[in-house]
Amino acid sequence: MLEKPFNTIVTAIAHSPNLEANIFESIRIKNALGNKLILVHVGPKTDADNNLFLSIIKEAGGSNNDVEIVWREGDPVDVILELAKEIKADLLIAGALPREGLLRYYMGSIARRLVRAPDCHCSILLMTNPQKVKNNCSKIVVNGLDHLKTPETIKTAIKVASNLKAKELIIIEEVEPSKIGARAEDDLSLKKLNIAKKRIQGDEAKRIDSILNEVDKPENLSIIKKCIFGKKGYTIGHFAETSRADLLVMNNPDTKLGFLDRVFTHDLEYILSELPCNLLIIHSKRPN
Amino acid sequence: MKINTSDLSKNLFSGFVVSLVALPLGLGLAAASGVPPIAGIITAVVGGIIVAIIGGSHITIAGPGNALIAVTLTAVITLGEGNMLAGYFYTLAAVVCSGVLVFLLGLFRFGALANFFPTTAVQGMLAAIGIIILAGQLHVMLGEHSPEGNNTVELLASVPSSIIEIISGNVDFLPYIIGLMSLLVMILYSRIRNKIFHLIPAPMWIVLIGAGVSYLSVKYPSILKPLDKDYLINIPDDILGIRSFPNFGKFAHIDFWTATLSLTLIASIESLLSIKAVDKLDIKNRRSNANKDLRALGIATVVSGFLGGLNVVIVIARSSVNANNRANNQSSNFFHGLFLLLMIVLFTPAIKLIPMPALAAILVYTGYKLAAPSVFIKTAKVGWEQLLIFLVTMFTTIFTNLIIGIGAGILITILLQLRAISRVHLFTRFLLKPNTLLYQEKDNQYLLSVKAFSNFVNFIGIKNKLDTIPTNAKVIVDFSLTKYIDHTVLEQLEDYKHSFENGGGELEIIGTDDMGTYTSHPLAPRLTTISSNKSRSKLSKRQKAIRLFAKKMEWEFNPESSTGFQDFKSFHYFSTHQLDSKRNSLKGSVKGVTVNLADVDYHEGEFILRENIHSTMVVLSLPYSIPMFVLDKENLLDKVANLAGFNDINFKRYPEFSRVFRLKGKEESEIRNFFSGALIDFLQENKAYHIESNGSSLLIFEKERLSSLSEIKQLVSFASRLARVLSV
Repeated sequence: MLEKPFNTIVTAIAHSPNLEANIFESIRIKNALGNKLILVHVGPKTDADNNLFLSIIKEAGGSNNDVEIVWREGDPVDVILELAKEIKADLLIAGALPREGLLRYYMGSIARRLVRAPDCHCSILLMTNPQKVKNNCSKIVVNGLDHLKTPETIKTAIKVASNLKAKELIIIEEVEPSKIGARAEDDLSLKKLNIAKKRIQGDEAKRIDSILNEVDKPENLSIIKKCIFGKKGYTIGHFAETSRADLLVMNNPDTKLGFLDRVFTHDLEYILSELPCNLLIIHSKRPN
Repeated sequence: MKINTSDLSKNLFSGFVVSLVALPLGLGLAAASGVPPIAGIITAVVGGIIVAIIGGSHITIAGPGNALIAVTLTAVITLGEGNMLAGYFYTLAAVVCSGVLVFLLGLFRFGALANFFPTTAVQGMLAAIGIIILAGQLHVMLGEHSPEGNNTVELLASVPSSIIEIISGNVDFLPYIIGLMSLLVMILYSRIRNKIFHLIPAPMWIVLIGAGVSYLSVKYPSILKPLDKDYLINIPDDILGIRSFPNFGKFAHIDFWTATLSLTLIASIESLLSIKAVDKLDIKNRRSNANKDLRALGIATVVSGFLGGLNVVIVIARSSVNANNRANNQSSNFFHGLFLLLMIVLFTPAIKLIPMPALAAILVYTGYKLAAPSVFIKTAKVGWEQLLIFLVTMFTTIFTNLIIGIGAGILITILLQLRAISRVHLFTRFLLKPNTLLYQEKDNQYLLSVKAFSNFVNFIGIKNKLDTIPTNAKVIVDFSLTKYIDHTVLEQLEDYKHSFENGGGELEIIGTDDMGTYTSHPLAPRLTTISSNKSRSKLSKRQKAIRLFAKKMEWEFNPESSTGFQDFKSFHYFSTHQLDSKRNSLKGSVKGVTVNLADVDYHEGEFILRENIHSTMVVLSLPYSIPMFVLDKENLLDKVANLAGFNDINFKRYPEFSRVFRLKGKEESEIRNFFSGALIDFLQENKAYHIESNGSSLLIFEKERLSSLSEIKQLVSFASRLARVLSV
């Protein structure tokens, strides 16, 4: 049996056209990646709702042992975070639209507010397109930034990939073009620039290899390393979109993402403003 | 830097030919700008010498620019408040300041500045400059001293009355006859493809004829009434003794800074556009360092301003002459400056005989080229929005000034683009965000993906990414995540396509198929909201005939214009000719040899010295390799046969063949082996074509013009039979 990357999973549910798909998807994820699923509904408990949820859970093949419904009232984000802390959840699942409207973008939807919350202590999975029927997850893109949190993110991504029976895991090392230290202005500087690029690519590959050496690589998973020069955060999102990845795995942000971060977009905010695919943000247990 | 004697002599010669063009242009440009003619020569001498030493490009020529005429003239008039000489000194101060600004632009790496302007707006601005030049110079060409009219519109309006004056015989006839004759030379020069006539560049012919006539009129006053002194160019006798110092007296005045900013803007745009265009002409396919060039131009402009000269810019027409004469490094720019200095010192009396109407004719032609009907038609073909942008920019520039003009052009472009995509948030969301991703797919192959929208505002992102790729690589530009691509981006990418092809690489654009356009122009803006419908234009009689011929032969025929000429590019002939497009291609194969016939459009020289050529050519792609050579009937195409450094290869056993044909190439013994008896017999029996080998295929054509159907049939039959001879 494969080692599961998560234990307790929390999914926020509400009456929406996606309700069924959310529950189906969550149960599938629990089966693959975790041991226990808690569905939290923010709002007053009614029998009709309870029965509806139970019937969907049953249809999806969930049992009472490992799927539980929790009813809470209050501000959704606070409630969910509180519950997650209480039960020591390690993965939150939330549905999210791929793109936020302009006003929504600056205010933030529930899913994104969870990501941006400062005291969130678990990983978060944003589902852009939950489906009732099983959708294979074959291509996973994970960040390979030169950062303390990266090794754990990559290790978790490999576990997730093998549990989801993914075929391809692409590790993207984003490097800011300013790091190259050369500018292409004519033939000579172009040559210098490409030599500098090669050197950086070599260093990056070495760094990733040292992380990969610490884990057992699943047999059926091909792991590809790619070093891309471009704006941090933006580049990997664009890559996930063009390469039609099914899941993007990222480090959690170092600081609380506030309003100003949305005005002057950077790093993770690029991806949050336009989700290219499902997004898994790994909460690192290491200190920042 | 290694000094190579054959390179040195090549560049020395090229510099000399360019100086022949630069002398009349320099004098004329300065006179048209309202400053003493010698200022133009000072600009070219200083520019040539300084930019050659510290510049960052390879085969460019620096000197006074056409586009600056309009700006400089306005500066002289407004700053001088009626006094042209005072205005000249104030303008020199503005020139010095703009030199400092251009230097700073280079220092802060604004070499990409020219990419921030919509192409069509820049063209509209250039057309306005052309009209401004025309308005002033038409009168001078027609022999008027002081044309009536304070602005472009009034000056243009008074042209008919000047013509009436001429017809009614109220003016001396010699000045306008010289002017009109000179114009005729400019117009006819590119049409007459004669080797001897082309030894001297058109502007120099005009100088020779003009100065000749005026010399004769002085010598034989009884036959020709000598030209009035006002009609002759006025340069000081003691060139080295002139002292014109800039006057910084209006430093705090708003007009001064308007002039300085206009000079800076136009000087940098003209230079940057020229650098980009000249890079395409470089046989060695080198990339110029635009920022380094800007710094050099800035320094040269400051020096030039202090010595009484104008803004130093990179100029396209003179640079294209330089390229055609096979210059290969900056020394030709240096020599061009040196020769000009020599000419002006040694031949002062002769230069003083040059009539102003002759120089004005060169500028009239320049102005016409900038604002020719063909420019309007070309723009209109891309779509009505482009024509609107063009006209708005042009009229605003004519009625106000260049800065407001280009500003209006940018504004209308943005408004039209917002209207086209009709979703403002697409713009606002991505305006400040990156939208490009570049990564290496495999060895030597890159993918550049572009998201959201792509227009002149964010093209810099694409440019920065493309510039980091070596030109021998394959690049795929993927627009499948893009909703809108504007004309500027498509046109710039077309330039990149050429430079990648020249470097041995490739640039391919994908993801635009499901985007529609309003017109059938290949570079028309593309939008996802309109479905693509390919409009098929009607075929001409000749095309139908070729199609029928193709059917009989069971060959493929494609009438559509395309820019894919990989098969043509590698030939020696196209090292000095720039390919534009090919049409009516005919493709088939004979005994494993692919025969490819097409009407090829290409050109030689740029701008006012541009000569468009259309020829029907055949390429035979052989399945094996052959030595490289050029074979020509003696004197059939002189330009091509001048394969420098190689001797004519003669065959003792075939004296008749050796007498009629000129055969040149590097690997003499291989060529001798290749030319077997059967091949020589075949060539002697048939009509003589120009034949060139690039190592794996043969280029065959007869004349530098399109062939008729019967000629095409002959050409195809020749090519097919040659293919059979070669495959034996």
